[in-house]
Amino acid sequence: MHYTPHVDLAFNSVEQIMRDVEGGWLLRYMHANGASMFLIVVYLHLFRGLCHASYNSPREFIWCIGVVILLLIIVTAFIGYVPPWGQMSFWGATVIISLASAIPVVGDTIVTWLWGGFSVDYATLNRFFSLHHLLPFLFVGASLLHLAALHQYGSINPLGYIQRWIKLLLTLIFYVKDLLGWVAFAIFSSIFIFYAPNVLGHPDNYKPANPIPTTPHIVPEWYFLPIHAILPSILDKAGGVAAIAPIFICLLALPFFKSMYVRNSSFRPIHQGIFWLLLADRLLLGWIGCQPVEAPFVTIGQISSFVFFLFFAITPILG
Amino acid sequence: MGNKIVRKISSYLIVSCRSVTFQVPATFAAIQNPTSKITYDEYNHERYPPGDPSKRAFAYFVLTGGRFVYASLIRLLVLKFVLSMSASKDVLALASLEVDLTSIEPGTTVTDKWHGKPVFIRRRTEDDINLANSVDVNSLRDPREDAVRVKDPEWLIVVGVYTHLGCIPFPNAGDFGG
Repeated sequence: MHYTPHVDLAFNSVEQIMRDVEGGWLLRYMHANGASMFLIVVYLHLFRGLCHASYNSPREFIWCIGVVILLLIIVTAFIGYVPPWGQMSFWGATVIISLASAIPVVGDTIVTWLWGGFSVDYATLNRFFSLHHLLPFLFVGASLLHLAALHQYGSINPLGYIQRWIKLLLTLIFYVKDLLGWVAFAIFSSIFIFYAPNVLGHPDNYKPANPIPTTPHIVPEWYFLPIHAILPSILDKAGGVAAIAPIFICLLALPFFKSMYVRNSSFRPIHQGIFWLLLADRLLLGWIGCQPVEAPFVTIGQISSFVFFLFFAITPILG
Repeated sequence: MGNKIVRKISSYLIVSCRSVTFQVPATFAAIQNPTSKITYDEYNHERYPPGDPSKRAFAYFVLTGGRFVYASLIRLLVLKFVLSMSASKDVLALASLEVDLTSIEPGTTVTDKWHGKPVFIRRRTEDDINLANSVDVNSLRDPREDAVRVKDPEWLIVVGVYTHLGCIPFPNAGDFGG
């Protein structure tokens, strides 16, 4: 409503929102920090599913839709970072879309097609702004499908055995239970929005985008770091790009390995062990993601990436 | 209350049984046969003795306090979003305009922009003022004396839009040649 998606005006229109529009600073900070908060919740939800093996039969469909939703969220967040048109917006878009040039035959054509030109420019900004507005509606549709799929078989309980004859009233019990969570999370979000609104961002994004000098340290937002860290760990360009796809393929394939009756981690001590190892590994990878691509970070990143895929190798064997 | 919470007891076991005698799980049997002989786990929480007046009043006060907070949060969000559409500060900063009147010759009109609309500033001669005063007030759309419309009769400052829907008049045209 206040933003202008033109290369000459975008950055200034965001500053105008921050300074001149009534409550504009609140709108902007809620949106930017809201993205981070949203992704915190998404990751918690994902790891909860991994921990309790919610993906098991008969709930594979819910899990697969969830992975699709995760991909939609990642794309929306990535293209949403471009409209502010800061240095990091511009160069982040340049670098990440250039990854597609690693595709053997059609790579460069695809990159030019995505950019709408030979570099990130007016066309890219305009289409990213439009798509950033459109994709969340797809996300809403996918979430409804996610919920509908859940409704088919119902939630599992933490112990994990089938229990169809005792169901709790959703509106009464879970509304109150979730309300506590919402209030606590609102307080947590408010700390970021009101007291540390720029802590999760990168200061380079407050410089207007400039095609000539590259920013010294191109880093994606924190929620992309664990995925992003796997890229430079594999030293071959095409290999690094190709390593991203297996992450999502592994996630998608999880439900189809081995079905277990009792899901609780207490009864599966090895799984419990490697689950926490995976979580620690993701956090380490996240830290690696924001370091420059030098030794010893590269080596640590390589080991961490290997451990990540190890989780998906071990799980199907042990169940 | 326990009956209200437990909504659905499926006949899963009854439908799927093949033999006449079958084992009912303990949980199922317990739900089907409610009894008042209940033992509670008092390891962490102390029970109030039976017949104790409940903490209902305290609990309701706490919940109501929470609802005041939620209402104020909703009010804040609604106001912030709705009022963000009102004029931003850079627009408000352009709301006042200063014009140098010394360079305007008598009998000429200067047009300036204020609030996005033209403002006609006319330095009137004696003839103009007498002409304005001689018009029959009741024949005008807005029947007011000229003296009421101006502070200093020499300077006529009007916002140059029609009162109907806001169009802008051509200069020196129309019924009055204004």
